[in-house]
Amino acid sequence: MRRSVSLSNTLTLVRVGMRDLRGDKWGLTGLCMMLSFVVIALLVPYFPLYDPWEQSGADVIAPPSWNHPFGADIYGRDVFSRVLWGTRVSLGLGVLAALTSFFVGAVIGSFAGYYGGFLDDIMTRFIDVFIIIPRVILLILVAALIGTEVWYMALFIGLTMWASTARIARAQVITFKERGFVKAAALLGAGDVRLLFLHILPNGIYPAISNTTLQVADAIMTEAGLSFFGLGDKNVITWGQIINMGMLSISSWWLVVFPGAAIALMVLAFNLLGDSLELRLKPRLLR
Amino acid sequence: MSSSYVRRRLIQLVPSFFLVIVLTFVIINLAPGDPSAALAGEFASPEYVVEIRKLYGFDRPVHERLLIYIGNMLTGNLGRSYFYGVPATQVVIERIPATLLLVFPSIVLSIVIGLPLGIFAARKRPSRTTAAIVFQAYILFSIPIFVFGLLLMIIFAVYLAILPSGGMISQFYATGLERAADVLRHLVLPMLTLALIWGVPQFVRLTYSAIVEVSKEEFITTARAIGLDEGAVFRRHAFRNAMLPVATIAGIWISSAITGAVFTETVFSWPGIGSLLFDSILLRDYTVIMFIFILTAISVIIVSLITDIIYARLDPRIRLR
Repeated sequence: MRRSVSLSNTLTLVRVGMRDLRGDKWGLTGLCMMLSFVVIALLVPYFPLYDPWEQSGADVIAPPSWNHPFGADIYGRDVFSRVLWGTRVSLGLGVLAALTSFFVGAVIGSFAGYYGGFLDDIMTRFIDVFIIIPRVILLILVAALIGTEVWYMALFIGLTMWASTARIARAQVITFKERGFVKAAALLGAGDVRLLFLHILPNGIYPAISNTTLQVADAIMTEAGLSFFGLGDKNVITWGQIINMGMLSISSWWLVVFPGAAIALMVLAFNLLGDSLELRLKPRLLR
Repeated sequence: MSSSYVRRRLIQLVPSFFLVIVLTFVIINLAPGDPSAALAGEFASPEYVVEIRKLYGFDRPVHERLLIYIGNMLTGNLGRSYFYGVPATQVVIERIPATLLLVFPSIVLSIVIGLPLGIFAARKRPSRTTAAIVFQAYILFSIPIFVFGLLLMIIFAVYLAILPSGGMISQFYATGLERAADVLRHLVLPMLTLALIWGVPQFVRLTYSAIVEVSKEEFITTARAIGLDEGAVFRRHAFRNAMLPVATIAGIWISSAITGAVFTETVFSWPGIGSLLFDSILLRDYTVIMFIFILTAISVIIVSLITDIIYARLDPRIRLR
């Protein structure tokens, strides 16, 4: 069976990405941390934990103890359980936002780079807009005025992040447009869309991958900021939200330290991973 | 040479600026409801509310209101703050000094700490010191700014009680030196937060990677080959070229500095534009929100323009394109 171009390229990508993995301490650390979070997120429902929504008058603002390792919040809910459950939302949201940004950015960027001209100009103006307006502030505006359900938030966050992916995609498409193998395929009758998605993109996508990984970290940080301001979805548990309620009783350090550390660790994991990917994927494939 | 480059860049940026305004205006107006009920007051009759709505033009379609807004903006009329009752410009401009007082020293502190650290890390590589410095930068970068701010507040203002926990002044009647000292005491924690979480990791990583990248260039090898000692190679060639990327992304850092300022000011109740923006969004004070966005857009554009010009000055290859 003949393997398609895209499949071959993906396999090469994985092989190249895994080279010298043993020497790359930081990338490995990032990877392990990320995997731990994924495992926690998947297995949380099976852990013997307090119900994260269960309120308890007796435990209001209880400091950490054997009973509540991370203490309890102002409603007496167990913070340890809440922090662990929060992993699911943060991870899910971060990945969803980054994926949205990736797809929107890659598509728009590729079309702009490929067709050039007027379309390109318009798109560059749009990209500039998202670079000029501080993203978080735009999101605060959107969240406060329009609404804050978790999935919408993930989408919106993604929709403000696509600019950098678009730039990368555009630059890559412009470079690859003139390459021999692309021109050959065009001569053989391949249409624009086929050229873009089967030939150019599978080869040019690598820098965007590390960028997207970093964007997961960014999205998680942004979401934390928004929930900290009280603009998150109240029906799900997010780390920023725990901290937001922590502000109500400022001397309860456990309401800030534990969720804060969780956010920092997850963001750190994706940053390490993203930077490591950037180093691995970029130089080798710049043929 | 310079003026045509400036003109070209300005022409490119003007449409983006207008796009920013349109986008913000549209988002603000997507929110359900309008301020007419709030403006009409508590005891207004429904008919009065409708009158107010007509008077302020809230019943007109969005595109008309956008054009009216832009028209007014170009003549300098940016509307009245719904909440404060005075012109939006006045409300915002009053609070600019507080933000500048917070942001400038933070930037300076970040550069003073971050740049030398980055250089040190780059020169000592590969070594454990370098790894330690870079790792520190990663960690500081990963901690959310509001978490760090709250932590500092908990440690220094609540448990140790040696610094104030918020606001800009505690002694309302102090003047002169006493007033300055009071403000400074309040400034310490927010400034440290902004500098350590936003500024320092940024500068350390930038400087470090810039120097590392530049050191791989051929002209560095040449400089060594012709006999220059390491110090001179660094000072005359590596360092200067490495500073270019650091300067050029100034436009982006202003954006992120503003975001950092919003969080820091809100956590510490520092009365600057950041907290004003946040409050206005919650209060739906549209005119103030629009004006702050406009100001932000203008400052980012100006800073980008200045850095582009400086970059073009320093690197002749850009100019001649």
